Amino acid sequence: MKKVLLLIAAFTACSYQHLKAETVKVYPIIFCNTEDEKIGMSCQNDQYRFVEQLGIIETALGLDVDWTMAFTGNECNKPNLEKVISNLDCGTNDVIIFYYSGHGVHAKADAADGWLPQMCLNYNSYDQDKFVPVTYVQSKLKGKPARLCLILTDCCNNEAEWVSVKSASASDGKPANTGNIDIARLKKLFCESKGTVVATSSKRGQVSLGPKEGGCFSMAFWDEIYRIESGQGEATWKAVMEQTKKLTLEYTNNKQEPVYKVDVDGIGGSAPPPVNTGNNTVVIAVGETELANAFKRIVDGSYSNTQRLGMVDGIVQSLFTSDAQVLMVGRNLTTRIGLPMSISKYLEELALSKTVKGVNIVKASKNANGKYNQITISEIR
Amino acid sequence: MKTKIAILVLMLGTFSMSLHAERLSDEDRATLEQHALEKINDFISYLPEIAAKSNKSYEEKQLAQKYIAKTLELFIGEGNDYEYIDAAGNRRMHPAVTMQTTSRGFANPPQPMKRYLQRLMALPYQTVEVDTCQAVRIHSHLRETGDGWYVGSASFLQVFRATRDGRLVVNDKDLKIVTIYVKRIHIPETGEDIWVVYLGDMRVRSSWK
Repeated sequence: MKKVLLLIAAFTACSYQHLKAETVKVYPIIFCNTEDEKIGMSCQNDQYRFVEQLGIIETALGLDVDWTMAFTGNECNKPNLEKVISNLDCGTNDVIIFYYSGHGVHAKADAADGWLPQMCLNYNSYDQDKFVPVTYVQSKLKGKPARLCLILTDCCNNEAEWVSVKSASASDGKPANTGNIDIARLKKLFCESKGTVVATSSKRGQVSLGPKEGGCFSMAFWDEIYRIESGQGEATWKAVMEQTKKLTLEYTNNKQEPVYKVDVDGIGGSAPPPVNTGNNTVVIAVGETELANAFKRIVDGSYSNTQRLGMVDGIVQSLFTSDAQVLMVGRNLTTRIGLPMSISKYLEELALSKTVKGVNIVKASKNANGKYNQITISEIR
Repeated sequence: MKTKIAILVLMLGTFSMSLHAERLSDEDRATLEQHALEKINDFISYLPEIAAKSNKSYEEKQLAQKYIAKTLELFIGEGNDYEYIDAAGNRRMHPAVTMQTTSRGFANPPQPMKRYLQRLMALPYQTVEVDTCQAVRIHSHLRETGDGWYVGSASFLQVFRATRDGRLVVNDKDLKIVTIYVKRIHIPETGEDIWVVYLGDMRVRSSWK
């Protein structure tokens, strides 16, 4: 009898370990220079688009996404970049997506940077010692055990004599986060591919175009992912990047040619699909963890409506000012929909909702006491 | 002469600019129509929470009342008579939004939405299922009707099944057409436009039994 019990215990432990190993966690690392005078708006829209689109994928595939590693404005800086990459602790079945939208440049004298640019982050030319080469990110992320690593940069790659070469290892030792979607094809890309994809928005010597709606390269990339979600196109990273290149050329009248390197072993049965939690809820919040957790709880279908309604007062009191307002935007993240609503009324609506699967926090502002007084959201259904 | 031409050009320019400002962009149109479809999905998802609560606890009845209030908020006038401006520019009152249902394949006369929901709650069924057959779609696109209002319509297939004493007593399948109202509200302080989307009357187009 004891032997049987031991056997069952060992089997349970093995199953647990196996299940644990199968979970896919996605780590998006987002750096966007949203406060730049010239390109800030474009980068801001790139960030919104990234968060929105990855949010859709997160919802569709039931992935577990760590949304805490987004850095914009003054936070889009070198120490944060080094720290977040250094601290990143991921598993062998996880996915890392590094995304940068901002200024970029290429050292004319440089051979080491090869085809990849340096990211200016939020620094001016006189602070060029703080620029970070994409090769730094590449080499650091290579050391992580993730199954799939995407490095996408939407920035210029034009050459400048005043820019010096930076070592990719210079910072070592320094102190350093629905309905109509073709799920099978998305899974093929995010859950079954293994390897690395590195792409930058323009080839060496070229500038990258960034109208206020967002970078042309980023738009082309998400347009292609949308095609895959709609059941069109070839669901491999090589095909996605090739099509992104074609679309970017098309959008820019052949002025901007993205370059990429895909080192993915393609379709493999080795990487199992992610564990779906069942209720498929998701909240996207850029750096607003507390708020994100609150929304996650209130749309969690595993609680009853009464339980969810019971959460409203507590959330309002702990996170919001009494007169906090909610503004809503449509799925394009720009069209303002509906009159401003009090936070209590909105949370009650969420608690009763059967169709809202997640809340995308587009903007959030706090008062001097650290309480939210206005948030702009869009809903994921 | 030159001054007159200049004034004319200025007037034409201003006119065309105001026309441009009032035009609904394709992107806004698509977003607003999508939002209207989401409201219809909300409406459909609320119905089972409202229906057949006659034999349920006080707490469940209270919750159903909350859902009725939320449902009415989806509609223009929130279930009450609402004001509109007629073709001659006069302010008039429009009767409250109505709902049309079918019984055994025959269309019933439309009834006020508020009454429909209250009656739905009181129905003596054991279980109620509402299924949309995944077919909520735009029937006619939004078009401007003046005074900042836009009107369109959407259609959806709705299956309503109810059981009593373990037997299926209602099994109606309707194609419903719902009017969509969109109002543009300009906020002068911020220069922003806010769009408010409401649902209107729901009519049975055809049904199957």
